Amino acid sequence: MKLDLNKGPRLNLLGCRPGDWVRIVSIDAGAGAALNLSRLGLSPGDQVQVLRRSPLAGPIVVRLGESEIAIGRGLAERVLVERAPA
Amino acid sequence: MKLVVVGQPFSGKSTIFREVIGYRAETASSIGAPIELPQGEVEIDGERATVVDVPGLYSLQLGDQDDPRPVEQLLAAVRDATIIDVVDATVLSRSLEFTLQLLELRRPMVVALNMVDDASRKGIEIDADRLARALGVPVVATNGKTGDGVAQLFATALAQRKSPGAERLLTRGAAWFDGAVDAIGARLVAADPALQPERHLLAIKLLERDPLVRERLRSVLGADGWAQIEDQIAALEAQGGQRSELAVSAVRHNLAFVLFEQVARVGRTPRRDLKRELDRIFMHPVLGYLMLALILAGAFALVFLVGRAIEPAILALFDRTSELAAAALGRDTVSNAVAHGILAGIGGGMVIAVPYLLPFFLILSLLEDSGYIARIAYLLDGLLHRIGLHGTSVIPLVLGYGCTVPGILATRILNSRRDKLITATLTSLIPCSARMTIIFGLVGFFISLPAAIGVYAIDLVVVIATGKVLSAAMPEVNPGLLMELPRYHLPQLKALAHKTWFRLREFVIIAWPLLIAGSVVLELINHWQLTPHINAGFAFFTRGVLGLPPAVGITLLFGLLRKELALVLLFGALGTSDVGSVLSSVQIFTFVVFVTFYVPCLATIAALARELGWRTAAAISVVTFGIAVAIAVGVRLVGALPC
Repeated sequence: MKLDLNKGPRLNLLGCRPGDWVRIVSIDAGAGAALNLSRLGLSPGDQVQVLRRSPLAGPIVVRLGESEIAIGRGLAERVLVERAPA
Repeated sequence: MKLVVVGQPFSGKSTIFREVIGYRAETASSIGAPIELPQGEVEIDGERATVVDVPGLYSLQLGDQDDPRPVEQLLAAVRDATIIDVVDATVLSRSLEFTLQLLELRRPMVVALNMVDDASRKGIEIDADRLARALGVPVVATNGKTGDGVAQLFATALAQRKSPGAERLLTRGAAWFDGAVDAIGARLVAADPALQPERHLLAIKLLERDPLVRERLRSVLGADGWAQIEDQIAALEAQGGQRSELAVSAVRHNLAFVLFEQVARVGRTPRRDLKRELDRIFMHPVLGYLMLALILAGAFALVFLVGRAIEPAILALFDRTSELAAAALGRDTVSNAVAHGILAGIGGGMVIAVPYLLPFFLILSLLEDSGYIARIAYLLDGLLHRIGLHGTSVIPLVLGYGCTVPGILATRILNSRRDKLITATLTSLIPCSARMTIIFGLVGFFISLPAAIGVYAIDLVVVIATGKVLSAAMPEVNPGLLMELPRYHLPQLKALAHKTWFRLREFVIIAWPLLIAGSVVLELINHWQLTPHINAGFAFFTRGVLGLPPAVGITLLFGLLRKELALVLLFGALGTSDVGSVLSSVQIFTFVVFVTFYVPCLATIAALARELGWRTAAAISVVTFGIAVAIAVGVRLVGALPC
């Protein structure tokens, strides 16, 4: 059986666990949100590590190089990612 | 000769500025600038230069929803200056994206490669000479904390002033982008030859859909010219399958990464890291909240204890001075009324500023400078989300418990106008220290302490409900929190003192003069015995709606000037300080609840107008008045029920 990664549910940041390494594929939100992410250095193609998820429906923290960025759930859900090697 | 220090947040920019200028920096209120910038004079090799510190910014690229003022402010500051771009070496790749934007401005520029020692500890080695060659501007390695390299940085900046800045670095390596910039640039020059020197920058900004540049060029180009540019951008987007503003940021992102790869070598990162260890506690799903509750409770308890200890001494001092003034000027004279008003205004300001605001702001600066406040934002983001806000709004809201004015001014840190509007409205509903004195002085003293805490509980419910209503009325455009988590720092005493003073100054400048003026007017009203007329005019409201004696009319009117005036005046208006003998518990509660919510004080309205415009300030005042009436009438009705 052949797996087509482009089909089926896509993985987003919200679906990742602490410790996961992922590559950002696209940002499925308006240009404003994508721009806001790019300000903090997060753009499609970048590889990040998920560090922690907050309880109470709070943000996800990712590590990009030496900086750590908290991303609210609404936004994290729209950041589509794929698994990447550590 | 002007040197402007710019950089991304947490780049150590202000530390470098302070290293050179110290804490004697004057703030210049340049016309049109919404926020005052710290600046100071320095002498380098016998030459004097003005150094300006611009607040940290991540990018010069503006989206539709962004507040353009910080970017405008930076652009205005660097217009006739040499740029000192402070870069955090530990996050070089991202920082270079901002550096590339600064290079587009084609001003003389120097890059300060700051915190190289931190970077090296994390296994990142950067070749500063190579970076300088790649960027086309000098790069000086610095350490803001020790001061290493800072003198050389400023000497280099001074030597740079005649340099025209770098070549068109951004477009190197992206042919489609080069083509678009050239074509749009040519169109601009054809429309107005005077645009020749800035054509590249303007073309890039048009591709970014920069609202400021679009507004400026639309009239220059005329309807036809503008349509052609729009068509060109649309064609480019169709070809690239991406919005042009994102394409521009992607070009920069890639170029920055390529530069980073050229100049940096990344080795192994050490496993132990203080930040990660501390975050394991402060951001822990259970421990984190426990720590937060302890820290906040401790902070409020400390403020309350310090305030209670100092307040009587200050009041006594002003009472004595007033007596002396009365003795000198004669009791029933206009001049005594004015003098007494001024003294009461100064004293009233002191009573808020010294015992409550000073410790409150000091603690808040401590939380901020240590890096902890970002963790509070992280922990509370989920909760704030339920009222349509996100973690960043924590700072204005918490400041609001001290004084509403700095709270409102702190909404500057929020990106979207919607968030600012909701946060500012909620901040003005939060009981500030002045309202705290009323709540504890009346409800706490004449009814009971639990009842006073009940007022806070009602307030919290109102804040949450208002947040829900406002966020439902303004559906979210921007989907939430996005924040860098800074490193932890051991706060520097000088920096703390400075920050505390800055917050306090906002109260002193905006609120205090109004307090003094209000007190004077009040004394004059008393002197000319106008009070009964004013009370009669408001009787329909005070008696009719709120069920209070008409004598409280004047106190509510002057509570607009300063909320705690309502308390001070109440004693005079009722003819006794034993309020409990004149008003029923329900009346006291109604009065306090009404005062807590009705129309922010005048200084708050001024702050709201400054941040959001007069119309919004008026709208917020009307809304809060409506809330106050509704809650007060509710309390009255519930109180009238047979128990």
